[in-house]
Amino acid sequence: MPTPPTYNYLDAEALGRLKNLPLAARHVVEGFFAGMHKSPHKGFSVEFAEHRLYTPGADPRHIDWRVFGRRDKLYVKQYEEETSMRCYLLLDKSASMGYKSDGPLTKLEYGSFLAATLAYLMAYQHDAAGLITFDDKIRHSVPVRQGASGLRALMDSLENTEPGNETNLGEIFHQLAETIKRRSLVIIISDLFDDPDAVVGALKHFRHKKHDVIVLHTLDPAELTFPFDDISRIEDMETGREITSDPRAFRKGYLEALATFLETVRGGCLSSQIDYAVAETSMKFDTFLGTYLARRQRLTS
Amino acid sequence: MEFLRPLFLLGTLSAAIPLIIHLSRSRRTKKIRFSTTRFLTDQFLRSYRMSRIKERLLLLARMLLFALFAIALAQPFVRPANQPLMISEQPRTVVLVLDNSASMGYIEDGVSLFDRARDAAIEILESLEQGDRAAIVMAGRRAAGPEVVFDEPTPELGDVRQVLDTVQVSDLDTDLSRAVARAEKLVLADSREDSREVYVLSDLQDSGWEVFDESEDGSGSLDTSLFFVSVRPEQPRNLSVTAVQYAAARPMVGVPFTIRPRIHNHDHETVSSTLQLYVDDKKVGERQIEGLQPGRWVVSRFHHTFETGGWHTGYVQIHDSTLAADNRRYFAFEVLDAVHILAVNGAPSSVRRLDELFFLQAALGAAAAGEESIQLDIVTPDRLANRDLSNYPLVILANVESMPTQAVTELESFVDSGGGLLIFLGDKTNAAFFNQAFSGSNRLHGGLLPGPLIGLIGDPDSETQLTQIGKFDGNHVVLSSFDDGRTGSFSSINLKACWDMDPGDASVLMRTDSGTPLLCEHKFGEGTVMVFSSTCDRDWTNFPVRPAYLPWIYRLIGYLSQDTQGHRNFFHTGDVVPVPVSATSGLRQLLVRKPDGNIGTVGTTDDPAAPLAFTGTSQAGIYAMYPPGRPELSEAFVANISAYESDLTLLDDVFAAAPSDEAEAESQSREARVESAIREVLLPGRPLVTFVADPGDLGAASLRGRSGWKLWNYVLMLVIIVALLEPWIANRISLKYYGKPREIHVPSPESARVNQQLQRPVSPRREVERQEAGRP
Repeated sequence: MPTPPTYNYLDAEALGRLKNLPLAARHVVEGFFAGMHKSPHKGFSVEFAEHRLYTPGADPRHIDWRVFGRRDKLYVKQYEEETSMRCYLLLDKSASMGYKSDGPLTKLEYGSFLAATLAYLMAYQHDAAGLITFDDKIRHSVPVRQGASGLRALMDSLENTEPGNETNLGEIFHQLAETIKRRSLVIIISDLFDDPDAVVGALKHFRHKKHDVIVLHTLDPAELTFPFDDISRIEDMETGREITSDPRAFRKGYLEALATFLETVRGGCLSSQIDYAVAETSMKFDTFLGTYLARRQRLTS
Repeated sequence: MEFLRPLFLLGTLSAAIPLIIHLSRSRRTKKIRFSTTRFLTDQFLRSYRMSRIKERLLLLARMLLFALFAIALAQPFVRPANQPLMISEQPRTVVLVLDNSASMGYIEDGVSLFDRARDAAIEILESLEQGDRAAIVMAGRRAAGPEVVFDEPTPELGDVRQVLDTVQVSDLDTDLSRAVARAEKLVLADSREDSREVYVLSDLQDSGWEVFDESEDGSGSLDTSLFFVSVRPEQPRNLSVTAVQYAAARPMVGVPFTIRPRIHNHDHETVSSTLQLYVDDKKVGERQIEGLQPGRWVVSRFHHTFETGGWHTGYVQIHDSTLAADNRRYFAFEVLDAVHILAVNGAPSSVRRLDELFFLQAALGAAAAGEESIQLDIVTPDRLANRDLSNYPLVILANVESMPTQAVTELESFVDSGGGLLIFLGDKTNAAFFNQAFSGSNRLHGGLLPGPLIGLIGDPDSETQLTQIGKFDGNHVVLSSFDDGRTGSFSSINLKACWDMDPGDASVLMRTDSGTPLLCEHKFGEGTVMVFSSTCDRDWTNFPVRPAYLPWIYRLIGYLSQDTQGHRNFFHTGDVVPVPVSATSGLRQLLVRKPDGNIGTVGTTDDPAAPLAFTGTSQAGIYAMYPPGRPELSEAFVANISAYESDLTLLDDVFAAAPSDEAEAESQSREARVESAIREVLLPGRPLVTFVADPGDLGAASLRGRSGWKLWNYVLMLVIIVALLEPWIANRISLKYYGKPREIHVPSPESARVNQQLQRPVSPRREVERQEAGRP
C-alpha cells in the first residue's frame, strides 16, 4: 500500500471513491507477479487453458493421464497464469496542455490528477505503473515499478511537470511503441493537438505491439466551444503564431475543423480497438474517472 | 449641383458613426493565449480576409446610407442652363402675386403698370394646361394681410382668368413680403408633387418689401420656384403730395386755419406744377410750385377760414400725369363754432380779478374776434350734480375743494362717454377728497385722476418763485406750436407752488424744471382728462399774464372740446379705423359711407384694444361714419395713400446699383445681380429664384426656371437600395461566418454535449461487430 497521499495530485476523497473500481486490462498483459490480470504465459495457475503433446523435458507432473487413457498419447495440461499489469502513463506536457479557460485546472494539471489517481489505483491493485512525460521529446521517464516506492517516484515526477514545448506526438508515440517491449497497458493523457493521421498511425503502432491502449483526450471547454466574442489577437501557445480577428467570424470554421479532428481521432481509435474518451477539464476528474472506469469494467466483464 | 437645404449637409458627418463604431471595436482588441490555432487554417484565414473585405463593404454601405440620407434631406438639385428639354412633365401649381398697390397705377405710354402686370399674369395663366392649378394673391397692404382670392389653387383656370379681368389697381400700400409668404403657403396647400411656382408681378418698389417674422405666415417650401417679374416704368418720375400739416387740431369758426402740404419731386428733372386746395369740393386756393429740383421737397402754405361750424372736408391736389393716386391728400375737420363749456368755479370772488376763472374767461373772450366762439357756463361745485352734462363737450374744474359724490359719478359717466375734463388744482384743493373720489380701484377706470395727489410743493404765500416750466411734449397737438416758439414761449413763466401727483400711466405733457408733472393727459373710456397741477389764475403762477397763456388755453380747450373721433380722423388706406367703445353705453352700431358712395359697416374685431373697428379703407378719400338712419350725425375721417407709394425707388435699381463686389458686378449681368440679391437679401435660403426684368421674356424665363432635376427623390431611392443591400451583405457574412456550422459530426460543439457524445467509452469489439454487420 502506498503511503497516505501527500501530493498535490492525490485527492484522498477521490481515491476513496475510486479504489473499488479496478483498472482492468481488456487485453492480455505481461506482469511480474501473479495478479488479477491474464498473462500470456502459461504457468501454474489453477485455471486450465489447453492440452499440448508431451515433449521430452516437459514436467511429467502436468501429464494428463485421463487423455492418455482415451487416446493413447501423452498430453500435458497447460494453465493460464494470472499476472500483475504493467502500465505506462504517457502524459503530454506540451505547451498547449498548459491552457485553461475559466476552470481551476490547466489541462496538464487535470491530466496529472488523472495520472496520479490511476497510478494510485494500480498500486492499490498490485499493478506496476510507470510515467513518461513528453512534449516534442520524451522529457522524463519513471520506470514501471510496483509498490509504494514506484508510486512515490511517479508522484514526484508529476509534481515537477511543467508545460514544455511544441507537440510531436506521432514521432514520440512511434518511439515509445518500439521502446516498450512487454505487452502493457498504455494510457495516453494528451490533447492530441498534432496531425490527427500521424497520431492515429502512432496509436495503431501501440496496438501493433499488442499493447492495450487507452486514450484520455484532455480538452478544455473553451477548446470545444470557442466562446470568444471580442476582436482578439489569438496567440498559439505552442507555436507563438498570432492571428488577429473577430472570433465570432472564426467560430463556425473552428468548430467544424475541431469536429473533423475529433472524428478522425475517435474513428482511428475505434478501428484499432483503442479505448478513447474525451476528458473535459470542466468535469471533476474523479467523476470522469469513476464514470469511465465503471463503464470499462462493465465492458471488460 | 445645388442644395435647397444645405444645412442638412452637416448630417453627412453622421457617416462617421459606423466608422467610429468599427474602429472602436477594432481598438478593443484583446490578446488571448490559446492552446492551438491549428484549426484556424490558412484557407480559412484567406476566407476570413475576404470576409473582412466584405465587412468593409458593409461598413461602406452603412456609411453611404447615413451620408445619402443626409444628402437627400439637403435636397440636391441640378439646374443646367439652356436645357429646356429637362423640364419636368409634372403638373403645375401656380400662384400669381399681383401687386395692386397704388404705385401700380403709374401710367407710361398710356398703359398702367397694373395693366402690364395683368397681361403678364394672363400669359402665365394661358401657359397652363388642363390639370394645372392656379390662385391669385393681391399684394396690397391690408390690416388683415394680403388678399387671397382663392382659398387654394383651383383647377378652374377660367375662374382665375375672370378674376384677372376684373381686378383693379387700388390705393393700398405695397406688402410684397407678406404676399409672397402667403403665396408660398398657398402653393403648398396642394399636397400633390406638382411643380410649384410663384410669380410676383410688381414694380418691385423698394419700400414694398418689409422684413418680417416669417413664422407669422409660416415659411414656404424651398423647392418652390419664385419668379420676380419686374413691371416697371423705364424712367420713374413722380410729383406727389406726401403729407399735409395742419396748424391746429381743430379749426375754429372765423379763425384762419393753416394748411401746409408737402410736395415731393421723385422725378429726375426739375419740375413746376400747380397746387390746389379744395374745401367741400370747392377750390379755395392755388399755389404755383416752381423749379422743384429732383429728389427735393417743398412745403407750401394755405390759409383758410371756415365760415361755419361742423364737418368740413377737402383735399390738396397737385397736377401730375404719371401717378394720379398720390396727387391728392384728403382731410376732414370738425370746425368748432360756439362751444359751450361748463366751468366749475371752486374759488369764486366778488372781486372780479380775484375770481378763479377771471383770467380763463378773459383769455377765451379775447381769442374770438367779434363773437365768442367758446362760451363758459359757470357753476359752483355744490350745483354740479344738477347740471345736464351731455350739453357740454368739456367740463373745467378750477380749484375745486370737493363736490357731491353724485356729481363725481356723473362726471365719470360724462367722460367715459367721450366728454373732456380739464382740472386745475389750487389752494382750495382737498387732496384727501380727490384721492378718495377721483382716484382708486373702486372708481370707474381707476378714477378720473391719473394717480393720487401726493402733496403740495412750494409756498403759495412766498414772494420767491419755486420753479419754472421745464420739458414739454412738443409732439402733442396742443403743445406743438410752442416747440418752435411760433405761438409764444414758456420760458418766462414762474410757479410759486404746485401739487405733486403720481402720473400713473398717463402721458405727462408738461413738467416743471425740477421734473414735477405739471400737465398730464389721462384717457378715460372714450374721453380724456387733463390735469394741470397749478392754478388757472395768478395765485400760484404768472402764467395767466404771459403771452403764451392765451394760445395754450385756447388749444387746450379746443383739443378737449372736440369729439374723441375728431383727432383720429387721418388714416392710411388699408388701416383699421378703431371706434371708441364706452363702458356704459356698450358697442355702437355704425355705418360708413366710402369715397365711392358704397356703404360699409363697423364690425367687431379680435383686438381687445379696439373691439369695434372699420376695416374697409382700401380707397383713398373721405369716409363718413354715422348711426343707421342718422346721416346728419355723421363724423368724417379720411384715408390717404401711404407716402411710401410715391417713392418710386425700385428694388432692381437698388440691387443693381449696389453690388456686393466690384469684380462680381463686372462679371454678372444686371439681371443676375438682382436675382442674386433677391435670393440673398430678400429670400435667404430660397435658391429657386428667377428675376425677369422684362415681362416679355417671362415665357422663356419660366421655362428656364423650371428646368433642372430635383435629385433628392433619386437619392432617396438610392438610400432605399443601400438600406436593402446592407442587411443582405450583413446576412451573407453572418450566415457564412456566424451561422450554424455545417456537417458537424459532433452534434453540438457545446462542451457538455460534446463531452457526453464523445466521452462514451467505446467497446471496440462491439463497434467492429456493428460495423461488420452494417448497422449504424
